[in-house]
Amino acid sequence: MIDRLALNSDRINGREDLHTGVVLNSAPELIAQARTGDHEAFRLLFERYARPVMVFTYNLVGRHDVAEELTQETFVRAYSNLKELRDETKFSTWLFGIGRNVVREWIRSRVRSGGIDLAGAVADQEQSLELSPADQLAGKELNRAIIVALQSLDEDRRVVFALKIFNGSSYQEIVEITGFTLAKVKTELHRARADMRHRLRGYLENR
Amino acid sequence: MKCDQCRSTLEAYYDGELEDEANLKMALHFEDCAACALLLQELKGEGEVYLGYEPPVEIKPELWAMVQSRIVEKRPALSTGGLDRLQTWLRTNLAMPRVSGWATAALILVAIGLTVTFMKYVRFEDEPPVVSFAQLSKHSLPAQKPNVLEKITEGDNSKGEKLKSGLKVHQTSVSNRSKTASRAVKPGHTPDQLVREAEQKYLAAIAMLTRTVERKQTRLDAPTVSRLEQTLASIDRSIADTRKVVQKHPSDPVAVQYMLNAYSRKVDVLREMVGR
Amino acid sequence: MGKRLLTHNIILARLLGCALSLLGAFLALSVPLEAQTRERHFGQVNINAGRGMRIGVDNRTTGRITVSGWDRDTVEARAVSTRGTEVVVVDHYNNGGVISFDFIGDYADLDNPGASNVRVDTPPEVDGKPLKVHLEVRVPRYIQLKDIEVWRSEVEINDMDTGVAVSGDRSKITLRRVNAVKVHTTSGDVEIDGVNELASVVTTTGAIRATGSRKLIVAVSITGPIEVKCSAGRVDVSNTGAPIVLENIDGDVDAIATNSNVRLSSGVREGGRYYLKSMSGRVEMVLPANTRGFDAVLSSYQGSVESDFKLATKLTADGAQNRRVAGRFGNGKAQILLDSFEGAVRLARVEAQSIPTCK
Repeated sequence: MIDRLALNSDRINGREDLHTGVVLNSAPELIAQARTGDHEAFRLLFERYARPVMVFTYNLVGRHDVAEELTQETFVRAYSNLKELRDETKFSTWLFGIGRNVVREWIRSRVRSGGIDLAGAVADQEQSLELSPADQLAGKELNRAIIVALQSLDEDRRVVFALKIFNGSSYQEIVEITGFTLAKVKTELHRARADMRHRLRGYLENR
Repeated sequence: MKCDQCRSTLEAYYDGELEDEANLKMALHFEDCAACALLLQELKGEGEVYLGYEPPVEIKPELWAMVQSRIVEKRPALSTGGLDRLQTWLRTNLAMPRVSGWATAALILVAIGLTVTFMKYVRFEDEPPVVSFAQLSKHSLPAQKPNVLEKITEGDNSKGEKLKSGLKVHQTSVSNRSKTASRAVKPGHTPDQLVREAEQKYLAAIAMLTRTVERKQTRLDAPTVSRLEQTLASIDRSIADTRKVVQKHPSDPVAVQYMLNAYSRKVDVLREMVGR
Repeated sequence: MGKRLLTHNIILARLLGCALSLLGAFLALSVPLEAQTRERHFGQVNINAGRGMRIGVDNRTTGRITVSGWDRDTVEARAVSTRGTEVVVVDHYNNGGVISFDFIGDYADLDNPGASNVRVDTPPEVDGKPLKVHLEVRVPRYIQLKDIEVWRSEVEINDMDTGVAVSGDRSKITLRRVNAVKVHTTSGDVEIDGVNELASVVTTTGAIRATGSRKLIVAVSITGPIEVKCSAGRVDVSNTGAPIVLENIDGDVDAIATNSNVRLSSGVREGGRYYLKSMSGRVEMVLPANTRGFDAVLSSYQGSVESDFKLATKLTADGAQNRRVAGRFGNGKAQILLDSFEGAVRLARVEAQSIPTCK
């Protein structure tokens, strides 16, 4: 279906390689196409949003393997519930809302089975992957300190902090993603900042 | 403005969440109050530390494969036309919980049946006509009025997540329309946040393109690969250098532009490699 | 003997010349370079101007500064406010023969209006806010203006044959019919109209609006929108988070945005180059239907690519992403390159009269 739309044009003099008035797929069309079961369209959505979602889930759980599973679950649920999305321009916020619920369910299940593994988060940092030059620029020490500090935050605080500081979400977007009231978002963010400030004081003082 | 007032809105100011008038009051206060200005500087300093954070996240090709294998048997529930429209209408105007179309239809039929039964066996002086489905659909609350939705929301805090999120989406779209964005910039985004967002976009694009290139790398000959890698290394050095400057001077538009141009060049080279 | 004497005299003369030069240099260096005086004038100030003179302007308040060029050989300055006449502080410099005057708007002590040497330390207030004193200066068009540095005062400069450099934090800067321009603000908007030579404008969050420029415009902003219209020269603009709108550009165009849209509505000239690019915004070029011809490369990695012109195209990539269309229309004598990573790219065609003309 994608290919058919991609070549919705007139050929010139029967030549395969010459076309006029080319009209190709646009992003909003991808969501509409994915709704009808078009996997290719959904794959393109995945390509665009997989990394931000995975960064979000990683910030919340601190483990790459877990973040990968939860990201997978997020997209599977998003695919199943695409019809629930009314406003395509809100796809990102909606997707992050699903991601947040997926993470919360995982945390609940871990709590029931015996606690979150903080050591696992630290161990994961020590085996962090080589990626883009930006990763090298950042410095592993700081990365590790931030991840450990994040994991020690209360869950609600961690979500709000990750969305605001690392995702750049506005307060209103955080309200939509988490279901918190605006007052709670502000309070949790304030407390999260204070907690992180305390835990990262060595890095902050050296500036 | 007094200091305690300033401090209570300091974070919102830094996060770009205040309206223009409040921003101006804050800015004027910082001119006169060194203590509050220092607090703002500390907040900015923290922001710069977090700017250096790069989570070690990689999207492996297998991830899509796993998603695909799970969705291949699922299909999003297709629109059933009238049933979906009815469901949407009921949800919007009567705050009905989110249930499937068939369940909604079943509930309506049950409601009609009960009503007919009730009307039949209870006598009234003026026997009202049987309420038909068609007539039911004519009676609707005013659609999409924010005050109606707000009232519903206030009473429905105990209802399910999905109902809340649906209403909140609507409220957001109403409140966003009422904000006049004089600069067509996302409301609440400071220059620092926008620059950070821009950088994250480039990084995401670079990561995605790099994976695609790695998959295709075997198609390119060795001298071409070597030449392209040298180009990329040179661009990476530019990115690193310009990034350092921007970290020191985050509000310098020229420095920001140099950095973003360096990222843009890297995206262009990677796109060229993908296209070969 | 005569020849030897002549040679000696020449040597002596040269030695004397060197000694005198050294003495002159010593004297020149030891004489103070500046002779400064400061006067406070209640009411209008008039000074005879001359070529080589330099004029500076400033404002002790957050009031406006207006400088207008005229055809007389005098400089006229006055300061006014809602109260009426205020004080112009005049600083006079003689910098090695280069005469300059700085005019500074200041508060008058209205209790002693004639005592213009009394400085008012506590700003008078109006409606709970400090009173604004507006400085108005008229100068010969040929006068060289010193670099202007302001914080919140609005600055307006008109009708100068010389270049102007203004740096303002929150100040709104308006420059009309000046020769060359260099402006830097943090959040102040910048408006330039009718600049003859190079215009360089840099802001962080201010809006930039330029019309009627004759030569190169360079504009950089992070979140301020950029609008350039009716430019005879080349346009080089870049922005991170606000739209770029260009209209009727005769020169080459380089417009780059990151998170915002880029739009150019203009005819193209033969040999012209039009390069519009955005990372995640929409990129659109609108051409009149009577365009003679161009070569175009339209590309978007994740967005759509559309063209209203029938290009003799060769699709170079027709996959689900990384779309690229390259083709020729007409005589192919202009170069158009439209590119976005995430956004849509469009080459639109309208009737020629739909594109507003320049005055």
